[in-house]
Amino acid sequence: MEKNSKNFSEKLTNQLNNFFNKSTQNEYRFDLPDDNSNNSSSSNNLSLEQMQEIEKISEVKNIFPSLEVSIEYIKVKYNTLINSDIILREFTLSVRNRQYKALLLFVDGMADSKLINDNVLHPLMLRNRANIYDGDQEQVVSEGVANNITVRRVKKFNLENYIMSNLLPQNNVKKVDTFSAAFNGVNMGNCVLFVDTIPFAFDIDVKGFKQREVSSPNNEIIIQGPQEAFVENIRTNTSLLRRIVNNENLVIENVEIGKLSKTKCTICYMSNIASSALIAEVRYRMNNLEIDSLLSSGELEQLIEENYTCSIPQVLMTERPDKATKYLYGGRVVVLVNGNPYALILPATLADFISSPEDTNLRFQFANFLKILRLLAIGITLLLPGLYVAITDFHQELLPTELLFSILSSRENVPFPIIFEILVMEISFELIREAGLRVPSPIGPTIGIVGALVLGQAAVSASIVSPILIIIVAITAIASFAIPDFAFGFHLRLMRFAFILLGYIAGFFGVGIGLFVYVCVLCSLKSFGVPYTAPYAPVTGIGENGFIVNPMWRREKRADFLDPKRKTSQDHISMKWKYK
Amino acid sequence: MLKNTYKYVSLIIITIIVSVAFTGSHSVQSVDDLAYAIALGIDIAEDDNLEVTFQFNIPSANGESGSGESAPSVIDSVKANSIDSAINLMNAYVSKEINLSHCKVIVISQELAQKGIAKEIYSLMNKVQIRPDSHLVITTSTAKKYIESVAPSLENLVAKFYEVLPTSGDYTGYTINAELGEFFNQLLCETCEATATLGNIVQKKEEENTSAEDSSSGGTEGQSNESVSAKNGIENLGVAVFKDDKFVGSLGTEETLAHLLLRNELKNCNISVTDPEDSTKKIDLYLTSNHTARINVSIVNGTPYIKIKIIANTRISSIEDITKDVSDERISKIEEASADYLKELLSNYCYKTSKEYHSDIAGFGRYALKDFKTNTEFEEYDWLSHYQDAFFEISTEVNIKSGFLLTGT
Amino acid sequence: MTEKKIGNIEAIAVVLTVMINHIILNLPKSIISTTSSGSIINVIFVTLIAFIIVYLISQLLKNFPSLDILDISKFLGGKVLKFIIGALFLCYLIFTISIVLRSFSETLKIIFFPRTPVQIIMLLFLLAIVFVNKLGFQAIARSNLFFMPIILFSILFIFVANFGNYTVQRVFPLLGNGAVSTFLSGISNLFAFGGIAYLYFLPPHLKEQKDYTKIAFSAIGVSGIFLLMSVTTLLLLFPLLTSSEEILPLYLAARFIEFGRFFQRLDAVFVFTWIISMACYLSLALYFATNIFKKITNIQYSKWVIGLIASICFGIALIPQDLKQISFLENNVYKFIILILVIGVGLGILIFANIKNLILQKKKGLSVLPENNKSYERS
Repeated sequence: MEKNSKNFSEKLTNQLNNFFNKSTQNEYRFDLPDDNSNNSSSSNNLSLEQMQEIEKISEVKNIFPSLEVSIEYIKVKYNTLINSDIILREFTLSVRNRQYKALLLFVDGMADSKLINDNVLHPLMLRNRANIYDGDQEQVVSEGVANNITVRRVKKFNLENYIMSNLLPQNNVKKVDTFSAAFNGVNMGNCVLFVDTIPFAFDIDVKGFKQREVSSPNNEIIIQGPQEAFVENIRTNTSLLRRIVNNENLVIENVEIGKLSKTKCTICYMSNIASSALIAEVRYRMNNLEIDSLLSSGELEQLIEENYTCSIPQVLMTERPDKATKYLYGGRVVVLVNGNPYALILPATLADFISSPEDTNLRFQFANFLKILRLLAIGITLLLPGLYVAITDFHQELLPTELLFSILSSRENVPFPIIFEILVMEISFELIREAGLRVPSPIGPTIGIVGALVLGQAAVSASIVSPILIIIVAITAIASFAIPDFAFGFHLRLMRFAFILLGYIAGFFGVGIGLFVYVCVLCSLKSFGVPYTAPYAPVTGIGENGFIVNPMWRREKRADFLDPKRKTSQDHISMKWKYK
Repeated sequence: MLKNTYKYVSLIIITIIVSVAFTGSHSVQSVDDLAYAIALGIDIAEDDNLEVTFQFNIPSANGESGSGESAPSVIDSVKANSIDSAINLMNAYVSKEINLSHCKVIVISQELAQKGIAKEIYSLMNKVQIRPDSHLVITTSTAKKYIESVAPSLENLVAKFYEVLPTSGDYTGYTINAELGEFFNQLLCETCEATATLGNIVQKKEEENTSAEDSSSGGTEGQSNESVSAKNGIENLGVAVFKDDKFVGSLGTEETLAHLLLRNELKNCNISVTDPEDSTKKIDLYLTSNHTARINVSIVNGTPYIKIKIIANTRISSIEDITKDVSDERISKIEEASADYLKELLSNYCYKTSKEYHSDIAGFGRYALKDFKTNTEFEEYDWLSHYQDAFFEISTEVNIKSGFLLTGT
Repeated sequence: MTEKKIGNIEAIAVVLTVMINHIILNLPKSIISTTSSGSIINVIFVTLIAFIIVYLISQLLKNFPSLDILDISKFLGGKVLKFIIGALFLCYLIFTISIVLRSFSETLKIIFFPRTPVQIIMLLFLLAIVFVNKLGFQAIARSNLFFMPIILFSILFIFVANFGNYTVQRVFPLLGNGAVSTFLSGISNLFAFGGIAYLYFLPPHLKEQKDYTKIAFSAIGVSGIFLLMSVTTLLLLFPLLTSSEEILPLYLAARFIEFGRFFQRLDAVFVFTWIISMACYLSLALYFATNIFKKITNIQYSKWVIGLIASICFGIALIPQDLKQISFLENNVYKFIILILVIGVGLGILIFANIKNLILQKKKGLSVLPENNKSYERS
């Protein structure tokens, strides 16, 4: 009855539509089903819990001894009927002249097919000395003579051991006994060998996917220093670290994050330098993330930092292995995420965001000059537009008279109030920056020309904005580029707007109060238990690990706020050639 | 969820309230809406009213140049019974609100100053906008005329002209740099009297009529009163001397020199003395900056006894007999002559201030402070009224450190 | 609890904040108005007395490590005494916050915002300090540490940059209004060291208990130096100030600074730093007020206490009708509260607690500590 009425109403509407609105009749419409309205009605729209339940039922942990069953399971799991790049190679394996059915599972494109041919299929399938050997079924493990009786410990012939030790000439082979472990290997580019009658599988490392070569860093450019950058592959990255660290105390722990993606991450630290509590804390946080997938170190950063409400970065990111190594030796922990060329350095303090990897390579006078310059850049980025608004709106007496009159005359024909003017310019500057970043690179320069030159010049000559303001915005922009850390610079750019608003609301009073609150927030932050403003507040050993770079021979102590195991990094007299 | 919404809504409301409250002062305080008076002139008008003159800078309408070059200025004046009401009245006339934060100079006519200007100075000092470092000028003419005659030739901005002009006293010694805040402090001070810059308009045709009268009394020898900035239409004559808040007289350029010497405010200057060997000729001496006046005041039988000792280091900058060797004897003669000259200068100054004006503008009183144990004793003594009875003992010493700096000795 | 521990230098800065902000507000002027040209000697004299008092306090507190005056008064007279002392100090802090807030806001209104209602200025201050208080004591103490050097520098700068404007002879007559007023009634200028009140509450917050004496001495020493500096500046710059001037005296002094023709209007910058410093002070005072409130009422969950006390302060700050009343409260009432409560009652409690401690120890048959005896006799 109900169905009929529904049909009827549908018909009616169709008729009406036909009558009034002909064109819509053939238009294709697609909507995703709204899962809020009919949650339980259709089987397609299962809730997450239900899905998990179903998965649990069909989930099999251990590998079946029977290959047939395993194959079926794999086919279901990998959707091989529709999945195009999953290769199931069934073949017959001969061991000691016996034939076993076997299966090789790998992902096309991820595994190196030449390696598979040469090191897996070739020795297993073709006849050779190893697999046609038909000696004793038993193997003597040890032999001992006691009381004239020879005692032989023999080991029964063991198929999997034999395959493992005699038939697979590939270097990295692991035995896995669960499907999930096997699939992990496959997903990472290994091939997995299933053999009939054996309740486990061989995870053979034949990774051979295409990946980017180690190249020079794009975003953290320095003049003097190594020109290598991390790449996407985690093993390459760890090898880069190992190569530079060159010490056996470097520990590279594996952690998998993501219930579905099972992204490989590593925690790297110097076991004889980094504080154990710090390492434990990093491990604890990374092991307690209940998420489906983790794709980048940026995501991981947001997941493990303490305070997420304020936009200040609390973890340092770098693409330079030399910078990471420097911090490793300083007693910090480096976290790498597979698939991402950025390493996380933790904990990080405010001073780290102001330092560039070049600082230690330069003479300390140069480095300190640059650091002070950057401090100035931070001040300008954060406060200059706000202070301009505050001064022009409230505190004109602060300006020297000549400057005041030149501001006045430049603003003479501008119709907008200063706050509006500055907001328009700042936002359009952000637009130009964002557009310049997103635009395909061939058109890139056009943005600069149109945005900066044409727009700026035209706006000034049309008296939409005053030239002084253009100067303010430009200085702010240039200063914001001088901040070495991208995330920190971004944070300052964002905070700039708050200070503009405060300056507009209450002049110096607003900016002062804002600055006070801002610094208080900075002081309340902690990055992995280290106060963000260390070593200045609380005061701990400013002398050697503060903002100012010491001469190379005076960098004796490691930062004590990190509580390192080795407190000093140099002898008291480091230049022994000079002073005995 | 609801709590968050509540939080954000209250945050927005607070922001709006605060910004509205502040923008109350905001909409009129913005740099666009203010007219900056750069000079303020105060005259006396009929029936005890004040005539207050404002000078505004008009920013050049040419926005592109952005430098405000050769900015014209507008002069306007109103009559009111006080400065504050004059500002109010002026606000009604001009479109923008008047702001005094860049007022560089305050000009007060001599006529008004003779009647006492404590009230005006106090109400000016009481304004947060007016800077204590604004210059204070007493004009012999009316303040309005003074401001109108200002025609800077070396500067574009009138404001800059006002700022630079009075500072020349540091290296000429002909004028003092009187500032409003200092003047106010001197008014309140128990050990000194107030001084201000004395300004005058230069009539281009008939030169030096008013100025000569004022300063001729002291200068027996020395320079004639050449106008400091004849081209500008205004000149600085010297020092306006006040007793309490009333203008009582003025000091000419030479007395100004003495004044600055005694106050240790002179950086360096040129003096010319009569040649001891040939009274028709003059020798120019350059007074270098390392000179100090040592002043000692003691109270003898209730009257101040002031000892002044000045040791001046000079260089000869021009002398007639340049080709001859200057003997030691001649140098010591020149030293003596110039010491005498300075001594006369100083004693003229001291007796003029003490006996004629009864006004301790050199601030000798502060040297007397140490003779008193407590403030009450000092207050009871009443230094300022005793100054007219003061005795002076002046000794001067001039050392000629070198002459002919470039030609060699 | 570790969130509330601060290091030595932060502790010094906390105590210093209290005194420096009163220096900025009105303190040098009220000192000069009582002792006139004798102020310099008076300040040195008073600083010495402050040193003695602080020495006494630190010696008396030695027997009670990590306890503040509330715990000690509980030890002395039970919960009732703790409550009374706590309430007294709470009132003192609330009173200080209100007066400082009101008087500084009025000044800001005069200097910057002639058309803004003073309530709004106060509201903005209160919003900031309440927000900051939610971040915790450590954050305030640390940010205070960041700003303290800048503020000290501002006073130093005013002192140095005005060298040219000084009339050195104004230090005479040396004794000012006479020996009696300089040395006897001048002792009341001890209220300049109001930061002593915070010394009573500091011990539980210190990481290093043993450095307490060091902290107290450095704070008193530094603030003594800066008090001397600011008094000297004002004394030499202005002919004896009349107390009718309502605006910050150091601000007036800052207006006289000129460096060439370009940098001659630095006073707004000074006010800028002082706004920050005032915010630091107010938030610290608010923290201690909430802390006392929590202690005497044993409230565990306390986020709302901050807002409550802040709104009480707001209300009290609105009570005075005009600037005259405010400056009366600031100079006279505040002075006697400090003298009576902080120096009188505080020391009294400590002394009696030490006596009680002594008696208890004697009963237990323990040996008597020699310092206890000494400090008792001396006071």
